[in-house]
Amino acid sequence: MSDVPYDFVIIGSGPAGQKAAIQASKKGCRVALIERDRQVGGSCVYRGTIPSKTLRENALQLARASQCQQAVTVQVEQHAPMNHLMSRLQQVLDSHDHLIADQLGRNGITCIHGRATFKNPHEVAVTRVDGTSDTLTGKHVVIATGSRPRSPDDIPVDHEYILDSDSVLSMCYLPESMLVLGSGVIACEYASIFALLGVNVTMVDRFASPLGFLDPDLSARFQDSFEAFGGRFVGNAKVSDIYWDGACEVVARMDNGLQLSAEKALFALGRMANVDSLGLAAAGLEVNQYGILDADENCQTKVPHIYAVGDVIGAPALASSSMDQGRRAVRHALGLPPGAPAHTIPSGIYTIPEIASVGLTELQARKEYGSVKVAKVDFAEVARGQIAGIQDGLLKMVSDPEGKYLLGCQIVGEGATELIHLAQMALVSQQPVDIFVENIFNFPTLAEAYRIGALAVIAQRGAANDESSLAAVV
Amino acid sequence: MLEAAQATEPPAGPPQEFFDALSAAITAEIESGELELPLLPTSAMQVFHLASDADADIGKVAGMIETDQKLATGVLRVANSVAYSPRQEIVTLRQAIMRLGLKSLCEIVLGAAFKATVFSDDRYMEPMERYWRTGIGAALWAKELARLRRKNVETAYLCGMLHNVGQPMTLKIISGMDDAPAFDDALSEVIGRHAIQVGGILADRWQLPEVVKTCITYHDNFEAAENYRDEACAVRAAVELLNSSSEEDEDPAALLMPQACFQELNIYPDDLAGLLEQRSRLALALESF
Repeated sequence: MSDVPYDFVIIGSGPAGQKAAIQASKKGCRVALIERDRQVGGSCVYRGTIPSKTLRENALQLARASQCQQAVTVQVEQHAPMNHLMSRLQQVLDSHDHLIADQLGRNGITCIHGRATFKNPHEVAVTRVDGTSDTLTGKHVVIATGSRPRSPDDIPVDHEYILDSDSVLSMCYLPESMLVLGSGVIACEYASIFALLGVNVTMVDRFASPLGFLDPDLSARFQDSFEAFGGRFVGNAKVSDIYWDGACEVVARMDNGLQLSAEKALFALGRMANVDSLGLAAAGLEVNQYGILDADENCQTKVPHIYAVGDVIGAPALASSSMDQGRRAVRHALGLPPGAPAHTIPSGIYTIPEIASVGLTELQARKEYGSVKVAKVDFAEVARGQIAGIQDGLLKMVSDPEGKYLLGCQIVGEGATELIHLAQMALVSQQPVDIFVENIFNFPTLAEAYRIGALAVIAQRGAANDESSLAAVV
Repeated sequence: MLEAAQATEPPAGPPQEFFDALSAAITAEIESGELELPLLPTSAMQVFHLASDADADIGKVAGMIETDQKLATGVLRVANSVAYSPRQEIVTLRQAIMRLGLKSLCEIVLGAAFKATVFSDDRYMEPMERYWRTGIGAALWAKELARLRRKNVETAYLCGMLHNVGQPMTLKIISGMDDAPAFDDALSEVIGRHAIQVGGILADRWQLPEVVKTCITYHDNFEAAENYRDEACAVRAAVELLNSSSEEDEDPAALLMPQACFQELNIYPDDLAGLLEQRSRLALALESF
């Protein structure tokens, strides 16, 4: 056993762990970063975000090319090899790996390949892949072990016919048909990508509509787009039995008597925190009823020197928020001001079309403020939307009852995850809605939708109360 | 060709010179570019063709298999095996196709065709059977490894099944020679010298996917593979798992764990222990082939 006193022992090298490690090293701390995989980066890089977004981008490029039908003819071949559809992935991964490794090395962080288990609240045993082990001592410990696809006992995920969101990208060829169980973020992302690629996708969920947590206008718009390019959504149906028939198909029986079948099935109903092998009890920790760790707004657990960041503490479980949690945890541990916690975290859903949201939805705002003012702008009204063929988009602005301040914004349509940041900045800086009218955006851009939406909100203020000189323009 | 070697043949078996001459003869045959390699049976190729047709008529596929007695027997035998676990006995080809589907059928037909074409030789039945069992056993283990690592299961199976195809092919070349010796360690060593090259030539002639060719070529030396290193390494691990399962060792994990391939694949001791729990099930499945 080696007793190496680190200031920080960080378990997990995904977005949260990396940023925690870098923040700590920037403050002159000795940092050990333990990663169970051979490469740093976590699921985000190798099994989730980056591979799926690469596939998504290529699917979109094919779709865009096929829009120019007079110039070229583009059709994805049935059974097209997946590696052709994920071209550039290896370059993206290599480049990302290089970048992360370089950052960690430059900051003098000790990276250790192995599995971590608490021996006591300050000591973490690291078991290497060859079975040998060592023990690290940390003044502070940060748990950033991420999550993995949920795999309940009654769903026979075999990674051959019934896949999860990790193994779905291992398919060699595009299947002819696919059942997607679930209609949350991951389910909808894959369902829409495969549907755009020509796979006959049926998405099934117990809720009445996909992405049920979203503003209904956005989920309805997403469902319309999904069905427009061949997908099918079956709501109010719960899978009671699913199996590969040993022959040609995966068969799913629903509790309402419906039976569906497809060449492959994707089970995407939630993720679970990677805490099983951590030996939490030895650290004086335990998971809550949802299987995640409890932590306060500074990511501090009930054991003061142990912090938990990223997916392991649950929502919002975004790479972006995880990075901030890593930074915040370390600053708090070091007694540095972590800054006010962000209350306006934008969420981006990489479905086709993209969806993004920040602040309150119309429903939430109505509950909190009563009669709010809402503007909806169809991308078909925006010149850039017409030019780029992005006509299935919608931007929704929700403002306070007086129509003065923005409370939230939701967008569906390509570019949504970038476009949402304008609303985020207005929210964070508490700017009046008028800022979208009184400032000039490039033309033609999708951002023009903000101007149209702001004008619509201003128009709702009523002429008597309206002091805006721009009211006449509406 | 081998007069010198024959002239000095000791009673215990051919001398080393004989095997060196044999090896030289194989090299010459390879270098001539006229190496005779088998073709997959026409019936198997036709079944593949039909199976890739979404509108394929099942009766037509059954009829195609029926024209090849060996293939038909093989399909029915494997369809009823533990590996495919039919819920009821399969007694007709049409039933097999309906139950198994064209995709699984393809896997079976492919296996049966390889076995009949490559892994069989009247003169060397016993080693051929052993090579076949190594291939199919590695395929079964490669599948389990792929499941554990969320990699593609179908590719893993094919790579495992064909990783050692160069061995039976080299033995077939030797079998075609006038003075083919009995199979023993010395002959096995000669085969080992040429198997990878011959396997690579076969992969080219049959236009096997690049990943399969890489696994044939680099499964013993995966560090040297430029592409598909991970797949070649997984095949190596599958072979190690297969070997451990055929031994009576009480602690196979202790033997396997230090192997570079398991470390390269990031297989931790508890992952390996979980895999090894599959030993008896896979041994049973292997018996079915």
